[in-house]
Amino acid sequence: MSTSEAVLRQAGDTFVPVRRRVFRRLMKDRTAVAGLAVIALFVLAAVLAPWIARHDPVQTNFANRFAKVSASHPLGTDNLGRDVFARILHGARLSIGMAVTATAGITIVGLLLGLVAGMYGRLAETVIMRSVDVLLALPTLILALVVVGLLGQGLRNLIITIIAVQWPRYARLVRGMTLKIREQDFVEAARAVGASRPRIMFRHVAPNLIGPTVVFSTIDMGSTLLAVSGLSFLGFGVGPPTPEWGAMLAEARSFLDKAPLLLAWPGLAITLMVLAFNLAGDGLRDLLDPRTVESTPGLERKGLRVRRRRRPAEPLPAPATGDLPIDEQPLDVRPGP
Amino acid sequence: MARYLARRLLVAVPTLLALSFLIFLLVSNAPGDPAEEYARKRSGSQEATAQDIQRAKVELGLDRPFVVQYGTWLKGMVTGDLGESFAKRRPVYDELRDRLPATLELTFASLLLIVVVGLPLGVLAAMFHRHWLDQSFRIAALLGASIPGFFLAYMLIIQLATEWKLLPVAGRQGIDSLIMPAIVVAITPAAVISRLLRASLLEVFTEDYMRTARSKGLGSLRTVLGHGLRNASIPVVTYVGTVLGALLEGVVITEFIFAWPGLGLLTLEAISQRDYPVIQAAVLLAGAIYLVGNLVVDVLYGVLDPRIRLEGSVEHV
Repeated sequence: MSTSEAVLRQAGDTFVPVRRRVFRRLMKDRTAVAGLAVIALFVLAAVLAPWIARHDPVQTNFANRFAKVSASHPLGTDNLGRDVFARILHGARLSIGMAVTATAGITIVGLLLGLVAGMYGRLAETVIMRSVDVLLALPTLILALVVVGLLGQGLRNLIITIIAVQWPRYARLVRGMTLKIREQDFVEAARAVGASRPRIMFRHVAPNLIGPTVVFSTIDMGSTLLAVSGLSFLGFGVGPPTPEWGAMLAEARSFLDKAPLLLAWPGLAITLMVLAFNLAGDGLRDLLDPRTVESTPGLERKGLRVRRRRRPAEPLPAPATGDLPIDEQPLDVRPGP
Repeated sequence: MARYLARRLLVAVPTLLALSFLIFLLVSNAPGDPAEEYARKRSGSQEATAQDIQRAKVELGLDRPFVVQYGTWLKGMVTGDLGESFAKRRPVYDELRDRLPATLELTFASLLLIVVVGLPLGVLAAMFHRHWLDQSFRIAALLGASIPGFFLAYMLIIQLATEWKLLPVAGRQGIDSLIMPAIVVAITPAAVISRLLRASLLEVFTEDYMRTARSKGLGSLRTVLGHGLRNASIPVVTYVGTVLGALLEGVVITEFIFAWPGLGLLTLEAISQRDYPVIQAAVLLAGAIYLVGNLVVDVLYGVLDPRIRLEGSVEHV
C-alpha cells in the first residue's frame, strides 16, 4: 500500500485538473502502455474465461491429479485434478472483480464522506475526520485482519472490510480538495444566486472532485489487489472450490514439495497483474505530478515547458521570441548612424 | 522539542482510546461465541450444553453489559492489567512478553536489510542515471514492489529450503531461520525506499552546492555521500512512515508463513480462536508502535532538516 499512499499524500496538496488529453499523453509512455496492455489482456481473459478455457474450473478428476503441462492442460492440473489454466482464468474474474468492486466502494464512500466533511464543517467534520484519525492509527492490513477475522470469511465480508479500512485515506484527500474548491469564485457565484448547500455540493463541487479521485484510486488499484489476495490467502476470502488467486496459492501450500508449480501460477498471475497496475499507475502519476507543469495546459500554451522529472530526454521546444523572459530577449546592438 | 513530543504523545492518547473502543465494539459484536468455544474446550467434547456455555460466560465476564466490560478492561489497562487469555488462561501480558522478542528480531533484521540494500541501490541508480545499471535496478524495484510477500516467501522456501536445503523451512531456531522471513518483510520497503532515494538524489544533483562541492575537487562518490545523501534523504524520510506501515503488515503475513512465533502470529491465532483479550491488547500494541514510529519519523525529519520547526508541523500525518 505504500507507494500509492505516498502519491495520495503528495497529490492531496495540489489540486490537479484531469483532462481528456491525459489519456493521449499516457499513450506516449511506453511502460504505462505495457501495463495497460497486460491489464486489458487479463480483463479480456477474465471475461472470456468460459470460452477460452476448455475445462470446468471446479470439475475434479482424481484419475488425473498433478498432471504435467500438456496441450489439454496448458498449466497442468492440481491436487484434485482440476485444470489450473481454467482456474487461473476464472480466478481472474474474482480477483480482479473484487479489486475493482472494492476500489469503487472506497472511492464512493471516501468521496461522499470527504465532501460532507469539507462542505458542512462543524460536527460532521469533527466526527468524520476524527474517525479518519482513529482508523489511520493502525496499518490498514492489520485493521482489515481484525475486521474480516471477526466478520467471518466470505466474498462480501472481504469487500466490506477493504472498503472499511481504506476509505479514510480517500476522505482525507477529498476533504482537502473540497476546502480548496469551496473558495473558488464559481462556488461563491452559486452561493450568491441562492443555491442551496446540497446543490452547491453536488452540482458545483463534486464534479470537480470525481476526476482526481478516480485517478488516485486507479493508481491505488495494484495495492488493493494485493490486499484482497493477501486476505484471501490468509483464508478470509471465498471458500473452496471457487477459484481465486490468493486462495489457490493458499491451497497449493500443502503440495509445496510435490508440485511447486501449483504455487507459482497464481503467484505469477497476482505479481503480473499488480505489476501492470503499478506501471500504469506510475505513468498516470508522472502526468499528474504537480512538478510536471506540462500537464497544466495554460502554461504549455505560453511555451513554458518544464522538464519532466522521469524523462528529461524530451527536447525543450524553442519558445517564440515574444514569450521569452526579458533577460533572454535577443538584443541586437548596432552602431548608430 | 520536549514540548512538541509531549503534545504529540498527548494527542495520541485519545486516538488510542478511541481505537480500543472500536476494536472492543467490533470484537463483542462479531459472530461466533468465545464462551461456547471455551466451554467445548473445557469439557473436551464437540457439543457444549447451554449450562456449560452460561457458566463459561460468567467465568469470562461475557455475561455483563458491554459498557461494564469495556470499563473493566479500561481500568485494567490503566493499572497495567491486560486481562487473561481465553484460550490459554494465562495473563495477556505474559503472552505478549513471550512473543515480543521474536517480532523485534524480525523487524530489526528487516530494517537492517532495507538500509543495507535499499540505500546503496538508490545511490547507485542515481549515480548511474540512465545507465543500464539504473534500468535494471528500476525493473528490480518494480518487481520488488509488486510481488506479494506470500508468493515470494514460498518461492524462497521452494528454492532455498526444499531444493537446496540451505535454510530451515520455518520456525525460529538461530540466525538461519531469520534470513528468509527478513527478506520477505524487507523487499517491498527496500524497493520503495531505493526508488524514492534515487528520485530525490537526482533532484539534489542539480543544486548549486553540489556543483560547488565538485568544483572544489571532491570526488564524485564523496560529493554524493557527503553532500547529496543527507539532503536527498529529507523527502525520503517523509515516506518512512508509510514504509513502517508496510513493514508491520509484512511482519504479520510473514510470521504466519514461517510459523515465526511473534506478535503477528499471536494476533492471527487470537482472531481465529476469538481470544478477545489477546486481540484487543495485540492490536492496541500495534497501534501504539505505529504511532510512536510515526512520531520518530517526524522528529528525524526535523533533525535532518533544521529548517523545519517541529512546533509548526503538528498537522503532519
